[in-house]
Amino acid sequence: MEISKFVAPEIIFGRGSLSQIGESVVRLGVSKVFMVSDDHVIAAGWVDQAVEYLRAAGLETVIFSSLTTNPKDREVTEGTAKYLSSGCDGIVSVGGGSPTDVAKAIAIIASNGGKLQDYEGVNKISLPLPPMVIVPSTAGAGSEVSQFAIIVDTKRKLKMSIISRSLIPDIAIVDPELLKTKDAKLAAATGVDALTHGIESYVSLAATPLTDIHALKAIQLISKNLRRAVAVRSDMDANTNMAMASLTAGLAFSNAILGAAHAMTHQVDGLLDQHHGETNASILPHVMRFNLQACPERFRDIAVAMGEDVTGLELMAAAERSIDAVKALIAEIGLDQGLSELGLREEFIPLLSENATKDACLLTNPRSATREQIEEIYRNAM
Amino acid sequence: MKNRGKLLEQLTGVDSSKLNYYVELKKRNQDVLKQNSRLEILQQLTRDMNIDMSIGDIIERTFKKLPEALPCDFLGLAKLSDGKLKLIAVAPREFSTLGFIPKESVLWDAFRDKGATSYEPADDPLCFAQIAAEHPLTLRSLAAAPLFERSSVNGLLLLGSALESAYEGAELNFVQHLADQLAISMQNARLYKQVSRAKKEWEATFKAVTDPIFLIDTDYNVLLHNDRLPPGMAEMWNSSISKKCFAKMRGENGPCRNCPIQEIKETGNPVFQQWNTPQGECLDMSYYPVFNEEKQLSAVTIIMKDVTKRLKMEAQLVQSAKMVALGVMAAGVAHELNSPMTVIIGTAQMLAREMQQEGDSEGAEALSDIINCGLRCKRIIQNLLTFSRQDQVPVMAIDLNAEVERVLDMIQYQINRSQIAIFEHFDRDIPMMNANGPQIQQVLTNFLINARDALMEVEGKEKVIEVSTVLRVEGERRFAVLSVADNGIGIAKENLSKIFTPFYTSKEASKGTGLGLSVSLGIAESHNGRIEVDTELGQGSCFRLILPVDQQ
Repeated sequence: MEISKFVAPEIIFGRGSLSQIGESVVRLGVSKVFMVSDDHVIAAGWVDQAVEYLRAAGLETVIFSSLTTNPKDREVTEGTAKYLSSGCDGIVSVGGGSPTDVAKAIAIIASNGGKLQDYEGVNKISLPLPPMVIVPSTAGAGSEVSQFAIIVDTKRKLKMSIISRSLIPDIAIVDPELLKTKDAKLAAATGVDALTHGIESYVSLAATPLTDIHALKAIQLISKNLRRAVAVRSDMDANTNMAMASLTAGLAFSNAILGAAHAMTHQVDGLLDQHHGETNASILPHVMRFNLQACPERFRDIAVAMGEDVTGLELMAAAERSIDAVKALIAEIGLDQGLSELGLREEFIPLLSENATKDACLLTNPRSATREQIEEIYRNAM
Repeated sequence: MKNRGKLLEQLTGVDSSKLNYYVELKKRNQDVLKQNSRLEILQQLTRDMNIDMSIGDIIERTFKKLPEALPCDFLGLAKLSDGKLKLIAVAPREFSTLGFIPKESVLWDAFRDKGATSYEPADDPLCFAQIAAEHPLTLRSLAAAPLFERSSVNGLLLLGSALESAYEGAELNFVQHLADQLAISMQNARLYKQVSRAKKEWEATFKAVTDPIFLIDTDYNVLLHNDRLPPGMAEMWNSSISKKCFAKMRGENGPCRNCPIQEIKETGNPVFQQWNTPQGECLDMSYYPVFNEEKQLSAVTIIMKDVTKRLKMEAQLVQSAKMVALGVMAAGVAHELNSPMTVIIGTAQMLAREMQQEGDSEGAEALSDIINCGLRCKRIIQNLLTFSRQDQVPVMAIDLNAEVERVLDMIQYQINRSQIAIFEHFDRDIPMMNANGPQIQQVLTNFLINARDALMEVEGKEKVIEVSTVLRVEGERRFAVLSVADNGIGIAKENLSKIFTPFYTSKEASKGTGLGLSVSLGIAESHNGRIEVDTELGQGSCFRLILPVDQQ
């Protein structure tokens, strides 16, 4: 592809940038705000703060927070009904990946109608969405800048990937302060998610120099800061760097798309209602190994970005170092567990593999994978 | 994964872009503006369309305006009759020779589908079989929209354009709107014509009635009238600025006394009244209530009937009936008196002759008185007999002076008894003239009785009645003038106009019937003559019967 395009929302970054939320929403012409969040974030006090800033800007807020990890389609239905009856004309999310994706999904149905399944896949949204401002409270999903919304189809028990440029929020406000209130496990899992985004988008078939910069930067920052961020959650330097890492990883994967790891984890998450970051941790090294031969130079770059010394090593050996580095990092933050430990049973693998071949994320995987190959990766990851 | 490349392109390619709320809004705004301008044109068209316009005019006008709203190089209208679709108007005119649209043509689809449809004329040579082949423009697209009347289709609106696919989506929608609008306009024109015809018929009926009719609202405003004002009223009517009935009809400043409208308001029943106008007309006034849908009084219709003539005739009939009765009685009495009078006079004359012979001059003188009075009685009896025969007496040559003398003979005594002196001035040159003698006598009798009555109340001066006859020449015509002048009370100006009205009387009920003068006028008119009155209040009156001497 000789011509490429890089799409990103307006991004406001920095400690205390939550204070910009009122101003930002007003700028989008919104008069009444529909805020999507979850109970943890509300308990941490961030929603109250955000509402206060909005009120200072003269805006009324309606809060919707009945969400779970891995957002479900029925939660979106409930949220849409509430949005439509609330008289709101703009959507804000304060929270992790779930509230963000639910906010996006509500926006889709509110302006396009129908049911979420109609929009599964690529570019199915035909009408513009209401103005959206996203404030992430975790460093991992990258959804605040991405064109992805991942929602669980509760009937089919799988994650639907809804991908459209329309899903890129209007404004992303990334405030590292919000990361303080996460627990260690969440910090670890989201960190691995961001790392997966960085690695997959760097080796993606759709990668461009612009996405590369962001991907490598994300990998670099995560390698240096994730351990510290998991260990001491009040370390604001580590938090700021992780927030930036998540953001740049998001920018990278939103434009370069992802790969097999995400195609596969989407299925597992949908089935087991497991945290996305943890499944990523189990699957990522095995996908990297599968992909290694397709673009060893890129994997060598990743190894370098993760601080591995590859001087004098042959290309393949150097590339292998990236897998070692990832494995080491995952082990150190305590997520080195197989899929079986997460609860996946052997008999699900054929179905999961079948579904994974249909996931749009597989499109940009550097090495094309058959169903059988995916099954094998799943088995390796058990 | 199929279409891998295409999917990738959609995920990452340059063409994939975030749908912009505001771009979309602008696009919709533009659509709305376009739609607005179309509606505006539609509205303008509707406004331009005159109810009197023919369908051809409507199509012509629409065709002029339409290109502002959508491509249109041809406009046509076809009507369905007897299952055939016939073009009845096209614009521009030279585009087509009007004719039938073949049943096989696709144009019928719009008809059957009951909705606007677009076509490519090239596909169907039949659909424009009627188009003049030599026309320079080739139509590349065509739209047809059914014309609805209620729910049934009764025609087709056709639009053609030299542009390809000129009628898709919104344009086609607009075509249907246009068709609906035209259908309504045409329907309106038809309905209007029906209504206006009904209205005209009604108005013609209203105007055709010769009696004056008025429609007056409950607040006395004249809403409508049929321009048949009684002659005497026209001047006041036209000079009145007010719209109120009392001002226009009677020159009053407020509702008249006993206003029937007031009575209708109370009872809701029609009211009838007779009105003697100051101009001497006698009008039957019928007031009919007009109720609105809520059964409330909304107006009053007044129908006036001029009954002056009829009343006069009635009066004459009454009078002549009375005269006949009187005549029969008088004839009876006169006849009965005639024989004894003959005996009295005869006997008195015999006695007188004997007394003369005997030289009894005293007795002879007394007898002479008896004879004279007897002769006078005989003459009176003779007059009575003549009078009583009036109906049988046709118009014949009479001597006016003789007729006057006969009356005076009969009536003089009564008048003299009221201490009234009668002076007579006869013009002996009046020639014989054709007239109904007894009727002339009747007129004179009336004049004399009126003169006597006018003198009855006069005190302190000599009461005089002058009866005179004169021959008057006006131009080449000669008239005999019989005048009766008195120096009595005279007639007030405001009453002067009423004196000829039947049953008008200034006298007490027991004395007058109010018929005399009206009957007299009738007699004068039947002789092609007239009655003149000079009067001055307190000084007296002079009534003149003027009769042409030479009948035409």
